[in-house]
Amino acid sequence: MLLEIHDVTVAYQGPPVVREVGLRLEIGRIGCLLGPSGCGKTTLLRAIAGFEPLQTGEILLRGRSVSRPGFSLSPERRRVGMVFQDLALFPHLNVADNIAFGLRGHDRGRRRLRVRELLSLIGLEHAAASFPHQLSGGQQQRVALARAMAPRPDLLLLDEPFSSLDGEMREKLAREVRQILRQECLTALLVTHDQFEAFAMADEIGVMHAGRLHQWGSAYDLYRRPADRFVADFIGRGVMLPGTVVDERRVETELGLIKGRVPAAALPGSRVEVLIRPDDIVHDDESSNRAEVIAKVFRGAEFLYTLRLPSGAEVLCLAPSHHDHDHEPGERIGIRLGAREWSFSAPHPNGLLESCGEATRQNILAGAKSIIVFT
Amino acid sequence: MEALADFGTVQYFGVGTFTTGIFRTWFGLGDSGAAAQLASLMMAFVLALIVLERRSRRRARYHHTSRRYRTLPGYPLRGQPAAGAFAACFLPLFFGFLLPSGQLAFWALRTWRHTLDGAFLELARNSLLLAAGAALLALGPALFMAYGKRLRSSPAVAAAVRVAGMGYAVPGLVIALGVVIPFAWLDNALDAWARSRFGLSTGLLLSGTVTALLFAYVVRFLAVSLNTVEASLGKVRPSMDDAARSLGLRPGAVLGRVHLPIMRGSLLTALLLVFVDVLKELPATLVLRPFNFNTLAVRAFELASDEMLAESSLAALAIVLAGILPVILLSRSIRRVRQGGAHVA
Repeated sequence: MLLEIHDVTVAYQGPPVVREVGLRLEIGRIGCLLGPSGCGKTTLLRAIAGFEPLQTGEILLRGRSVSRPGFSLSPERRRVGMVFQDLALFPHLNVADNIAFGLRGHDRGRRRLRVRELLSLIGLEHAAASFPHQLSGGQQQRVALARAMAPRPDLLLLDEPFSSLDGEMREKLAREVRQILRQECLTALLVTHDQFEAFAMADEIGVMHAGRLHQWGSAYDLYRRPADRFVADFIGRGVMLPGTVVDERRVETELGLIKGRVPAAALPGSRVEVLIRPDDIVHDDESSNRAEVIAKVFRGAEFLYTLRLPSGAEVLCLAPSHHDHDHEPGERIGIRLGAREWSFSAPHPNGLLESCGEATRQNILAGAKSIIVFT
Repeated sequence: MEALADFGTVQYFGVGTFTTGIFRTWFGLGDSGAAAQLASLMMAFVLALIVLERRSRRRARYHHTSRRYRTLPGYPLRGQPAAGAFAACFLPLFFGFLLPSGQLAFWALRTWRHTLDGAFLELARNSLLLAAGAALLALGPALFMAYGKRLRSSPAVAAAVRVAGMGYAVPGLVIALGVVIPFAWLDNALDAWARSRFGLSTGLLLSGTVTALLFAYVVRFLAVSLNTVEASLGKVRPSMDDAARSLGLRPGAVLGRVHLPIMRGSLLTALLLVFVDVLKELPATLVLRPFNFNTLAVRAFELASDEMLAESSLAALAIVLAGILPVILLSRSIRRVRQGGAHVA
């Protein structure tokens, strides 16, 4: 295990910014901390780099304890590279010297070789003698990456590395960076608020909110098996549809029976909510389930419909845009649930209590038959 | 503020102002108490002006909307408008610089055979040493305060730094008074102690030497140094410190390999600016200089006061030439910054 974080809490003055976070990252993997701004993800990253002391918990790199309360191995001795949000390129050094900055221990020949290797990796051989302010945003970004990778750190941290770039450039660079990290066999941890960036870059993603790590898993898991309501809301789009547990294999909803393994906590007859993603609902003119079109957005490959069910609940539906007939708001169209095996996740009890409303919390504490189930 | 603090010009033309009043009360009437009272009054006036200025500016903060400087489009002018624009730009230069320094050069050419002697060279040496010493001395506290503000920023620290930089607004004569009175007291106390302890007199250890003068210069021109140092330290973003650390540098090495190279040019500018300001300084020098110790500015003033304008021209011209140097240097460095205006956003 390359990076292990146990119960880490970081506080400046006042309430903790990072609360009891734990995660592990294996060698060669690319991890990502994803969350809205102010959720503590950057602070956690800085703690791993050695810039923030811990209140509780421990951080281990290659099994060696580098941070714990009262002890912090200095940043220059951690073998952790970092790409900063503002890049922090040295304005008085040219590109080659920026990249060579962390290579002081090496002899001249090896240093030059490594710089040349990295310059070709980031495709900037021609710009070796340029100064940072002469480069474009994307080029500066790649120089910052090369500089951090040059000493071959055990772990590379990237703090919102693409935030200064615009949409298309961002995705292109994210793909490039992933390839570069793979080529160098680097373990990396990325921080971002953009889930598509996270999906494009990372093998494992952690969703953070208000200092807590809500879930750590693959992009697919976050989307299909969110651990709690915050993750369900934050990742992708979707709607909570009320339902009733029939037995341990089935939940009855307005759109029909949903089949899957229901968590043991949800007893037959209890009221639950089921997370319905836009791609779970299929537009089918044959279906007897009818819903009224409220809004329609053209998104290129598909239409995104907002539909109102007879009960008044609203759901989203993705329909292919080459579908031969358009439906306008006010029309009633046929829909059905996509045929698949639904897997209900058993929500983490704490996560559940945290994320649901006060009324639900009281109900759960009182043992009432009302519980939220996510799919 | 500059006009309020001016001493040499108003004294020469015999205009009675606050500064000449203080000077006359002090040396004419020998009443340092009354002079100190006048100086306090003037100081209060200056402080009131500063507060007023801050208040009127508080609501309006001027920001650059863009980090990059755009090259402005040129408007080619011809004929009469071109001549008008040329005249508008040329007249201030002509009356403010070319005419007076031309006159000085003319006089200097006529008199240099008997003014450029050993005494003049000693004046120049005194001026250079004093100015260089004060520039170096001012850089120390400026660096200390700028780093203090960066590392331990608090309202108290910020306020203290602002107060330390206020000397620039205070007239040199007022500062001289403020320095000479406590220094004289300290000298007397030291002398009395040395007499009773060792039976020998230390004399005027502080107020009679260049120590008092250098101290006054630092008080007066610290703001110049401080502003330049703060601006250049602002270019070293905290993330650069972190980047250097994570690339394997110890904190001390970060100073040498990141801070120093980025700030070097600005530190030289800070030295140069204080150097030139000290070179030009008259009232505080006049009051605080040790006995029989003259500088270019003092000598030029004395000769001019004795209506020996032609004889004073060489010293005056030397100061003017030394003062042009930073103007050229600064305008060049500013132009360079603008060209590379795309400093990492």
